[in-house]
Amino acid sequence: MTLQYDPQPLERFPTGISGFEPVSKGGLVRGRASLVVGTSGSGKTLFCMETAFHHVEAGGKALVVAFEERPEDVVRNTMGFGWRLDERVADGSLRFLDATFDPDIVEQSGQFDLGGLGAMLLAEVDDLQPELVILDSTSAILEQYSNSPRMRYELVRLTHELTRRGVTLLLTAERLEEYGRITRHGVEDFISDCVVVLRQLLEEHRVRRTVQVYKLRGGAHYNDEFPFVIGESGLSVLPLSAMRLAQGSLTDRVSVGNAKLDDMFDGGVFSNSIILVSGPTGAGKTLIGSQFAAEGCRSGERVLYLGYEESKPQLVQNAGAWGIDFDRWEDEGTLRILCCYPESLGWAEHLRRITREVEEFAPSRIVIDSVSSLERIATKRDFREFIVAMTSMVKSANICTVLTSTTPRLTGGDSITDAHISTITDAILLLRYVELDAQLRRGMLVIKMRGSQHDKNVHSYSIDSEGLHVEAPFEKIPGLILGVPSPSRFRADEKA
Amino acid sequence: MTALPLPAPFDEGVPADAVVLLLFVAGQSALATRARANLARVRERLPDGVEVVEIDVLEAPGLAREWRVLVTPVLIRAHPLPIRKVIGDLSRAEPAFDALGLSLHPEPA
Repeated sequence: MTLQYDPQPLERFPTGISGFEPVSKGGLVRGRASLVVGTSGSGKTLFCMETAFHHVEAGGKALVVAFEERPEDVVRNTMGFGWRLDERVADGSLRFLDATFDPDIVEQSGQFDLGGLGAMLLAEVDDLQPELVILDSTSAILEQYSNSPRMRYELVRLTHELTRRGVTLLLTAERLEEYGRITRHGVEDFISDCVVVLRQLLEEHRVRRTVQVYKLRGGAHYNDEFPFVIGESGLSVLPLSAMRLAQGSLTDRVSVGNAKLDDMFDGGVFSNSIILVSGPTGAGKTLIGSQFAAEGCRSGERVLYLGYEESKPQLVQNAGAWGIDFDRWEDEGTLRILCCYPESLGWAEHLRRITREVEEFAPSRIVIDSVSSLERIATKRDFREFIVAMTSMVKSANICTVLTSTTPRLTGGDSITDAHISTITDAILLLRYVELDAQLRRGMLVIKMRGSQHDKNVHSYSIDSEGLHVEAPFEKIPGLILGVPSPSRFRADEKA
Repeated sequence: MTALPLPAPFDEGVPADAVVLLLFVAGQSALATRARANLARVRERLPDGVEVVEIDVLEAPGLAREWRVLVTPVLIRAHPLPIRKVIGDLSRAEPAFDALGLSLHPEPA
């Protein structure tokens, strides 16, 4: 007998789960068995059902063997994501086999195997001709009947029978711990073409979910754990390390909507840069953001304004007080204002929303006011990931972005946001209160401008009904930005 | 949940006092052979009016689905209701038939 080699590489089977394909570099393995493992509640069933949903929505056919949840419950539980699996069942593209706990079984007398399941499963497969078959979960069947070598062998035989028919198989198995043995019943030993591990960990009182492609035979994939969320319309994996920071060339300059401020940036900011405006409350961050947005609208660009600190009427009214007519631009379609409270969505939902808006509205300018208010809704680690993902997304879309950040103290100091964000941003503008001669003054300083010269002076500025006015630089005030200015030193300098 | 339908030969006209047992097996597997033999051994000791029908899941997977037969062999009391199932090759016959609500006649000496 001679061995026949198939020169074709293994084909992939996309799950349709947002962000999973980049992480697995293409999805599951077509025509093979993939195993999804996780502790109870880690999202295994959802992972499977979302894969089935996207598959049947795209015109495919799927068969789901439900061992744990009854088919009607599976269908009902996923309706919240807007999936109408009932319609797919009705039109025949999705079929369920109810293999849940059978209360009619009253006695066990001797040995048995999975002959019944095998027969009906293969008959259904021959009849429906599905491309995808899901067994959820293998642990449930081993638990309900017996975890004997015979049953495990039966499962192996069944997976072989199915993959021999060319179907892509998706199985789930439960594990008892987040790290350690892959599954409770050692199912991974025979289903070894692809293993996906879902984890749920408690960090800073929040559930942090991750997905890891533990193994994917014959294919490249990322080995890391990637965060994912169960959002409004299903799972969403955030392929952070898989993201490439696309650094466009910094050439064209655009105005920030204030001539003097443009001068401080040595002639405006680069059109694809991220500008961080950091300052305490009342320093004028929203005003700078509004002027930046207005400048974009005036020159006919599309502008997206995301407000997380005030309501839309408030924002529009404040801008109106400075002579900026946001209503008109919104009517003309050059401006889109979205205001919501940070807590109204999870951090990953916010990210998805921003991404969706960027895709749909295709703005060339974005204002996010403030990015620091989103700190409240995520763990430190998740917030960092949010910032990285969000900035790389706007960066790759070549959007000029102003991020505002509220510093916790009125003078000096920095915030978590600033610490995470400063290396990612192209330009940083600090706004600070300065106490001088028993007077509260405002000072601003450009501390960074990638690829360009910039004004290194701390400028005094004021805000009135006309807007923001950059004034002459302060002189001789040590510690203005990094801390509280020292009056004694100030006087000593003057005497000298 | 409504009662599962009886397979074709039993869907109507089953006398109220009749007992219908369905033995689901998978083809000619070793377990199927053993279950058949174990059933045949106690056949004489079954009460009167007990009817046994053998169903091969490989030939009638639809019936396997209707009766939710995942593991084989399984002996199902299809009539009277409620449905009772005993899984396994019936190597321990007495407790098996006990569970189905049938007491076997004592073994002939």
